[in-house]
Amino acid sequence: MSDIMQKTFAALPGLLQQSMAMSSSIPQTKSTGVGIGVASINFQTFIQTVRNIKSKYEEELFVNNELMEMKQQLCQATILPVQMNENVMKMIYCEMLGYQVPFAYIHAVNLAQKGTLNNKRIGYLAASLCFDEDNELALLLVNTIQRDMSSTNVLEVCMALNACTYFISADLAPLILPIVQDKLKHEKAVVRKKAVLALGSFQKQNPSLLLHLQPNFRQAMGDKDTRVMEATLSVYHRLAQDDPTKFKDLVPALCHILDQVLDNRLPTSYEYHSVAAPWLQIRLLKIMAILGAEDQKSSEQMYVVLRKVMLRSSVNQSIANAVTYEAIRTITTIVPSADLVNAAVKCVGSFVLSRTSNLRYLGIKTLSFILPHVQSTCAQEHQAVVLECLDHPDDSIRRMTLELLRKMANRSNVNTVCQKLNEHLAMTTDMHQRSRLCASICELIGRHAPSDEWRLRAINYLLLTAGDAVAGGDVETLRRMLRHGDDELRTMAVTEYARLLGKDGLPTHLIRIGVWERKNNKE
Amino acid sequence: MLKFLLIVNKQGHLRLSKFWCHDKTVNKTVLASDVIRNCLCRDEKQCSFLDYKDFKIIYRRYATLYFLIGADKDENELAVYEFIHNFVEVLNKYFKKVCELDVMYGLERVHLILDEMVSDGEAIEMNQSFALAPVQVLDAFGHRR
Repeated sequence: MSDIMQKTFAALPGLLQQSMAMSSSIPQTKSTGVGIGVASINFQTFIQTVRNIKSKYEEELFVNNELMEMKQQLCQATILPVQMNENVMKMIYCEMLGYQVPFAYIHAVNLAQKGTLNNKRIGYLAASLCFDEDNELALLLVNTIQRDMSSTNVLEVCMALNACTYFISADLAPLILPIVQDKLKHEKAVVRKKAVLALGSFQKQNPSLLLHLQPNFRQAMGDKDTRVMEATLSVYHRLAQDDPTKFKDLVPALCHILDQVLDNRLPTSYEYHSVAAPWLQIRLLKIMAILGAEDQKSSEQMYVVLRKVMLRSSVNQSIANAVTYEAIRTITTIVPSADLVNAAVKCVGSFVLSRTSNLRYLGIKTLSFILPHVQSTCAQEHQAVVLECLDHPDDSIRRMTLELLRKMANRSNVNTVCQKLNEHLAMTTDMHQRSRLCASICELIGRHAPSDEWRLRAINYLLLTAGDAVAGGDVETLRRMLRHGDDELRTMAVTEYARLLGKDGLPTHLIRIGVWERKNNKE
Repeated sequence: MLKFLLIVNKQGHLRLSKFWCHDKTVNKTVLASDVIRNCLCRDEKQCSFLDYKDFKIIYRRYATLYFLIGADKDENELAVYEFIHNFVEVLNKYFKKVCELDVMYGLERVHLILDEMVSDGEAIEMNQSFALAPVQVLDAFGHRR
């Protein structure tokens, strides 16, 4: 059987066609689901009822009933694999609807331990959806994982490697590590790929493993199969975010891979809507951005391939736009080169002026990346559109425009910017957004205030509008600003607070600052 | 990094949920219903990206089904948007014009395909043939000993 499995993987399309032609053992009627055979009447009824549930009360009644029946069935000594399979599926449904079914977890583990290929996979799946490595049942699964990993059946090895990312905790990783490392030399690329991902997940839980695993990752990066290389890149992406300095030597390799992708050297199956491996390009660009930031030498190595990416950019394809957007982000994160920034500015223009909401959103976002690198003429050019977006009916675009405004603020326009931010603050009810806006306004008051008088008025206005949405840290910052102000500011503060404190319905923070200010300035 | 994926119908009923963030303090059911409510009240002209607490939500509608993904704040929104489309194309290939019923009856198959494409929150396998291969082999041979 294991021989057939090996050959199956290699000759999948032909074999599948053959099996579809002669199969009557796998009825594939749409309504009963593919692959697990005909679902029993019981299971079909279950799905139909879930589909037709109209109220929370109905749902609770139905689910509690089902769980009772499930408990009874699972306690029986003899239960058919198909029934076990269906019960585990019902468990997945109930957990998804928010009802915990802990008594059935052990049956998922049993299914993974003793089931046939299909049932084993479902057992692993159910376990991964219901509990993680902290649960004591995970220990039982570790034995199964070890056994499956040594199987001659490629599917079982893949299942076990998949399960490693869910159930192996930091203390158990050293146990499994040697077997997984061994799989890096497997003849099947899919096994090597999953082994890399498993090792990546071990290292994530146990950062000290990096030294031990570095040679494995380096080797996997040069694997002849793209899948393995792509998996390694996702691991390196996370590693580079934690500590970019260790991986600067990857830059030439990354540029080389991106170059090859752009030259269409990958198999055609990697093309998506006529763009060559777009997500791989995006991943490479992200890692390059991390490694090139504030590093002249690394950035210079990237310019050639980045120019190539920008040349290929086209606005007609959504996925191509995603690559262009990432390229612009990379160009503006690394030490910039003038011609690349110019190319980026052109693309930003076409995004901002687009009629599609999604592209306009990205346009405003990229405008905020570009700003530190160009003269303010760039933003002025698109001023009309930016102003239009401030009052856009779409909340997401308004928020992004406010973010852009914040980055554009300087001494001369800070009054207008703060006014706009305050207007939006008054309109928003979402607490998260309110505290973010408050933090932005506090930062602007601190950084760009044109005069002390303005500063004082801005602080008071913010406290009046925002009430208690202003975070404690920001109140402290405001208080410090007043404390370090000169005598003129202090005198103004005293008069101002004397006037305000007479009124009713003031927010707590304002009262506190007012009282504190008056107390400190009584002398 | 992707934090969660939800498939809901236009009445807001959850048909699939997958979480890649293991924050124990987060109540997944409450989070899911909150996100669903925020997305379903948007109209077609609005953009497909919105902010929700620490997440960025990217969603896409296909007939009666909404696909919602919660990701990190600094994730490339358009790339995730296209990932959703890629995922739907793969499901279409597997189920031959996927619909809500397919997702309900074939829930475990959808999960297996998703597991193949996304590992630990990272979208890994975007090649459609490679994403489908293990599930197809399981269908052909998985129920035999």
